[in-house]
Amino acid sequence: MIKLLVDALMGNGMDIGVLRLVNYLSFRVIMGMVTSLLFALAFGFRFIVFLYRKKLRDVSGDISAINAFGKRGIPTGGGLLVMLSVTFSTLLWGDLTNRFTIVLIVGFLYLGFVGFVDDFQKVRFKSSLSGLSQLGKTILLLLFILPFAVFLISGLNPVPEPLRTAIFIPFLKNPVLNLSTGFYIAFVVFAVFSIVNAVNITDGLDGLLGGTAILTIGVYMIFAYIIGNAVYANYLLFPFVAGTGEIAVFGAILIGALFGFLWFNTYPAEVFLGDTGSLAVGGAIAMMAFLTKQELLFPIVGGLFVFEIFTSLLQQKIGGRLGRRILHRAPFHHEMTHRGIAEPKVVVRLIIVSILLALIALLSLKVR
Amino acid sequence: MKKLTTKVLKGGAVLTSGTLLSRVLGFVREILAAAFFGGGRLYDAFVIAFSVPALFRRILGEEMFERAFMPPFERLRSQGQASTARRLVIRIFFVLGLVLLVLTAVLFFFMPTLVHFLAPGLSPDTAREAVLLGKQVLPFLTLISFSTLTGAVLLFSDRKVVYSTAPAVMNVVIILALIAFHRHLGITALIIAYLSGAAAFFLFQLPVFFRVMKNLKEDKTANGEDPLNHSLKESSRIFVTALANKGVEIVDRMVASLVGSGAISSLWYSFRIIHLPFAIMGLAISRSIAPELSRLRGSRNYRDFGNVIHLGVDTNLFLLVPVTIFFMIFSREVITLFYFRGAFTLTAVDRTSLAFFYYALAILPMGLIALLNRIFSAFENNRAPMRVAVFGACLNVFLDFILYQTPLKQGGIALATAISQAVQVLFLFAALGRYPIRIRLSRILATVGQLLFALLFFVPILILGKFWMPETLHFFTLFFWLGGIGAIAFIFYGIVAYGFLRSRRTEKMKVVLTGGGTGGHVYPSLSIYQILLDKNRIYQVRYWGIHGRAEEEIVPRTNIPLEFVPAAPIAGGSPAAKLRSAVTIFRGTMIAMGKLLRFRPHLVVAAGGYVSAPVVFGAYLLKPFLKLKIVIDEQNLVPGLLNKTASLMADAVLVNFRESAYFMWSNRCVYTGYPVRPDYLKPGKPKSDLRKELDIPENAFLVVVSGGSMGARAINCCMADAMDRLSEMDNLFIVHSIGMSQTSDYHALDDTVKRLAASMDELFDKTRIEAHRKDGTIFYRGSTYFHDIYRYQQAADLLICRAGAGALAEAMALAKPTLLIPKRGLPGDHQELNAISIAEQGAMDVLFEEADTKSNVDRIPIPLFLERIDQLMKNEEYRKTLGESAARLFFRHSADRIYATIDSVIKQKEIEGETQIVEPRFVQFQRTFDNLIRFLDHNASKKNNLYVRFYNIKVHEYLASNQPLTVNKGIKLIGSLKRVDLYPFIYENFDDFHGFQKRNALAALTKADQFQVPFKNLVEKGLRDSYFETRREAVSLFNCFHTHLADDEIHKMILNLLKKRIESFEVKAEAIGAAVRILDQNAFLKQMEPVLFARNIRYREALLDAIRDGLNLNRFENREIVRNFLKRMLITTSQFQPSFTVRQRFLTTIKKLEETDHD
Repeated sequence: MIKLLVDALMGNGMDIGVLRLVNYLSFRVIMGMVTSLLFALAFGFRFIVFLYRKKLRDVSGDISAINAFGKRGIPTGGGLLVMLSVTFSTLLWGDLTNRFTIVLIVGFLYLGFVGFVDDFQKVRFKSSLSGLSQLGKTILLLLFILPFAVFLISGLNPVPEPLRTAIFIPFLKNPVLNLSTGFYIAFVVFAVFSIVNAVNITDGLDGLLGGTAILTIGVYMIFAYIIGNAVYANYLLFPFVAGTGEIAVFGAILIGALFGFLWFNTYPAEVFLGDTGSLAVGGAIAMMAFLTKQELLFPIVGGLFVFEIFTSLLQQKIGGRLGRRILHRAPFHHEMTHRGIAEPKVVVRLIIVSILLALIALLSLKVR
Repeated sequence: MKKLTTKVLKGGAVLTSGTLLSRVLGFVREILAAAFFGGGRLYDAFVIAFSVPALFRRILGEEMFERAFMPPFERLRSQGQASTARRLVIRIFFVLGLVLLVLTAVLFFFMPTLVHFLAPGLSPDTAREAVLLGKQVLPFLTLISFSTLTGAVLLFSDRKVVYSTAPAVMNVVIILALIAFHRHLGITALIIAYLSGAAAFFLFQLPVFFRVMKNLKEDKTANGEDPLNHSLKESSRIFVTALANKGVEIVDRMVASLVGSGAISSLWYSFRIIHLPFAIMGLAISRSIAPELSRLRGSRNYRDFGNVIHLGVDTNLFLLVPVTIFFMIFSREVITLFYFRGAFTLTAVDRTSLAFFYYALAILPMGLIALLNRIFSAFENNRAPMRVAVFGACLNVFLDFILYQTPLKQGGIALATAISQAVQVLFLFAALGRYPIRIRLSRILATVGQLLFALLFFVPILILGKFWMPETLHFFTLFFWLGGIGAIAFIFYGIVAYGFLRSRRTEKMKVVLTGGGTGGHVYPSLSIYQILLDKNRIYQVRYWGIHGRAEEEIVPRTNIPLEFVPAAPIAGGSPAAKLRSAVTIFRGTMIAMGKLLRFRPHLVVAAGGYVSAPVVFGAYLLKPFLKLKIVIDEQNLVPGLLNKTASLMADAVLVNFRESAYFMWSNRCVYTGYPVRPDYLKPGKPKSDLRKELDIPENAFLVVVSGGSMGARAINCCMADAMDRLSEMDNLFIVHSIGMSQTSDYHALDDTVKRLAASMDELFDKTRIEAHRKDGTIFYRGSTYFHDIYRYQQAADLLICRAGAGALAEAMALAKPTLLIPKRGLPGDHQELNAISIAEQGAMDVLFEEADTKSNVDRIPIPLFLERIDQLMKNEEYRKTLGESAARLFFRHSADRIYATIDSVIKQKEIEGETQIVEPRFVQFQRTFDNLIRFLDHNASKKNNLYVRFYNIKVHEYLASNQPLTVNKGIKLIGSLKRVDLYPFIYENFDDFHGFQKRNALAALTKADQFQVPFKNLVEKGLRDSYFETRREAVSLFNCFHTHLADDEIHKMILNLLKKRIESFEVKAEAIGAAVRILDQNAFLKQMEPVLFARNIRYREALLDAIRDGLNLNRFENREIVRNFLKRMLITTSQFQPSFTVRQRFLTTIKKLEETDHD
């Protein structure tokens, strides 16, 4: 909004030096991050109380279920705070005429809504088993993913034509794979669905998803910044796509919001992200991966998420069929706690792993 | 909402709008007549001459045709016997024609006598005039009688427009004729006008009448009895009543003729005015209330009956009393206004207003009489009104003769009428006492009080107005003054009175009841209906169920119209069957929507069962278009899928168990308890009286067995098979409700009778379904269904029933000791767990069914059954505590809560939904089976614990399943329940088990109290197994029975596990525990050296546990060495147990508060 305002002012001859700052991407990236962070910090506690009052609590508000050691009764749906903060900050600092921004914010909010429905059902129907069914969730997700895939291959996508269905492989200079439209759509659906679910499943320990997602989003933000900048893109041999810089603004805003959320969510958590947040964040990551054309970077930068869902599927699908456990516990962060590592320790360790993965991913910027 | 008040008024207005027009026109006619012919001698003659035809018209039209002849006509027509109906009309025509012919002839010849009789006081020339006029007016009698008949036919053929406009047409013609001819022809103009009016009346109706008759062609159904005779008989009574009522006018005139010239016409004119408000209001009220009354009478809804009467009385009072007062205060002004012109002189005004003043008093009684007569005719009793009317007429005549001699003169005659009418009202009220209608004097007095209060705003205005009003005879001045005063007074009065009338407005609903399949679903909806009925909220009701189920049996007994909507259960069956069900549900939804659109209910009460689903769906779809509310009553603890779905569409869900709220998807659950039939709540008669009535020995131990309306197969079989043993129990008497089930699979009655005959031989009486002992005393009585089972249950010493919601609530309501036999294998085992939860609170005893391995029919173990009966029979103390606890558990305010909830829903108020949702214990157990296992581990030794008992039966079922996960549960249960007898199942099948099952099997055995030889084999197998959890459990089993398993081979294997490089830490940790049992001190410590610094703290924890175990088992000779060894251990940790301080303090504080709460 500020960008629109400044554009309008400058278009009418109000060329004030300070205003020109707004046109610098880096300024907006930082301001966006700060705004969303401050928003989350300012309203965080009040929001937690609000959720608690509205009985949006983990599983049940029944006093008898509370004990001094567990976490029952902690408000869930903290993703709403992230969503609010991101929306506020994006409206303020984002370029609302940019298609990337529009797609990102719409997808982010929609997936947050789907997650909220799930959370709400769990709370309303008083059991963690009574959320959206697997099928219902899939359908609701597909309602977003399919249009998103169509957007990616359509003329609406600012990415130039030959690149739209091409797939970059990390550490290789030129796109190697160029899929046909149908395959590409199938790939998008599969990949986005998996990414969203992987991020969703990682949300199990206090601060885990927040911490790891910040790193992943950070990497994609850097990629977006570079691709959206003609000079850097040229220098690092990326195809320049105008407007991609706005993805960086969105990423920065999301990072800010997640930091603000982490303030409350870190061990011991005062609020959980809930499906509201995990689906929205997962969706944002997936969208950023595709919009920056760095789909195959995800297994590296989001290696932790991939591993988590891998262990979970292994235990559930294969183990379930065999009638035995394959790991002691799944997903992997539960295995770690089962092995006698305390929760905060697990979170920090996994974040460290994520940092490692993020660094490797950043390496692919230059090593090509 | 239907507001009865408005409906009555509106209905009356619509129905009488035509009549109103004709009355007003008739009044204009009278005004004109008064102007043209005055109120003197001449008009007296005409009134006398006209009396007879007028009388006939009133009697025939308003009374006889409509009340005696037309009902059978209507009945015939609606039953499709059109031609008979037609014949009836024609025959009435002939009879009428014949009577009229004779009558006309008689009147013609005896007119002077008649005139002399009617008006003995008339002067000779007036009398001569009257005779002449009487003869001239005779054709009017014929014409008007026939047209009344045609009018009645039209009324009952739904040609109401023609029917109600015809009199208006007549009056218009009369008025026109009067205006045209009065100058030239004098009084003869009146005759011509009336004759032409009557002809117009007749001709106006004739075309439509012929069309109606033409349509009545053929009988569609067979002819029954001849209706005419009956009608004639009935009509005679009505005739007498009418004659007595209307004839009084004639008597009045007779007496008036004695008063003097002009008296007759003064009564006539004033009566015309009186008739106007009475006709408009009184008639309207009674006309529109009458159909309501007949309908209520049909449904035997006496409570509502009383209410309608009260409403009628109230409306009469509120509307007619002020009119009376107005007329009395302004009697002279009114008469002047209406009649003072032309030939109508001032003396006539004086005379008329005197009569008018007293006649006004009769307005209210007349209205009430009309109302009460309708009530009697709704009861098809025309005799009481007739007697009262005859008596009233006599009284009237008697008073007439006394009062006309007083200075009141014709006023006295009017007063006599008023008095006699009032007396009639009292008599009629008294006669109503014969019917079960509650007319409360207190309510009438309250109305009178309110009326008096309202009149405080009315009378002073009138008096002030009268005081200020100028003395004038000028029409317009009078008109504006009267109109103005009246309007102001009536506005003030109206506001107050409307407030009062509104306050007693009952909002009545059209209600659809649905749900069924079994009595358990039908009775609750009927109970809710009864609750609403008791609160007087029912306007109309329908029951929508399906064919061939319990509702078809039960509902018709309640006078509720039963209709059918297709429905089908969706659960179970093949996909094809599911699809078929879905189609049926869709079809049902469509049909339900059609019905809903036609019936337009305000409330849909769905009492669960798949039957109600289509109706609820349809209602939900129509919700935006119809103002309806949906209330679901869920009796079962665990609702089915359809009910859960339907609950989302409901405005309120009434639940019988608090826990149901947990399962319902809706957030609008209200705990109301089970609405038991009122029969169960009424205090019963003394036991001894009841037993005498039911023909049951007074000192016998009465057991009432009931398996619900459809019957319970297992209970029936058990009863029948155990009957010979039961017959040996002294002093026992059994009443057995066998049930109505007649499916192809099971015919309850036949099967039970067969079994009984088999077990009792000749001691069983097949036809009466009674069995007797060898000494001949009857001790068993069975029936497919006892409609008054509650009476048996009230007289019982012990009840045996299923653990369905209804049966439970009824047993609790009766506070009787009960033996529950829950049905096995229902969704979530809910009956069984219901029974458990109630029995846990010490309120009932439970006997569980067992699955029969041979057939799929469950059975009750007969020895156990007999043992229970015997125990309950002998232990009176136990029975008493059971009964008392049951009464304590019963929720008595069910009806109030239900009513309050429905009322809030209807008024769109917030309902108090169930917020404290408790996860039922058995759900906890079922959801996380390990919770149950943990519970059973602690309680396995308590053989009488209900869960233990239940799962001891259940375990067989689990093990027989072909679902691996279910078998798994069974294996866990074997362990928890320490079922040594089932261990062989594990031994035999161990090799076929998959991972989880092997693990659980070994874990189950660790709970065993004693070592069994095959354990050794299993441990060896388990240690070799590829699954780490199996190995862990094998080591754990070894740890439990290490003394019995002191085998080198096993020891070696376990130590090998410790040495293995790649091994699950769980197994290794367990093996550390085993090592301390296998190795001596030195070897152990040597082996454990690396564990001291193990990275995974689970190892170190295991080592510490192992050393403690070793100390307990005395495995260490030198503790000093062990201590020094342990001191070197790494005690950094990656694990800790948090304790959240706020929560800690919160919980202790809450606990403290709860403690003080109980004090």
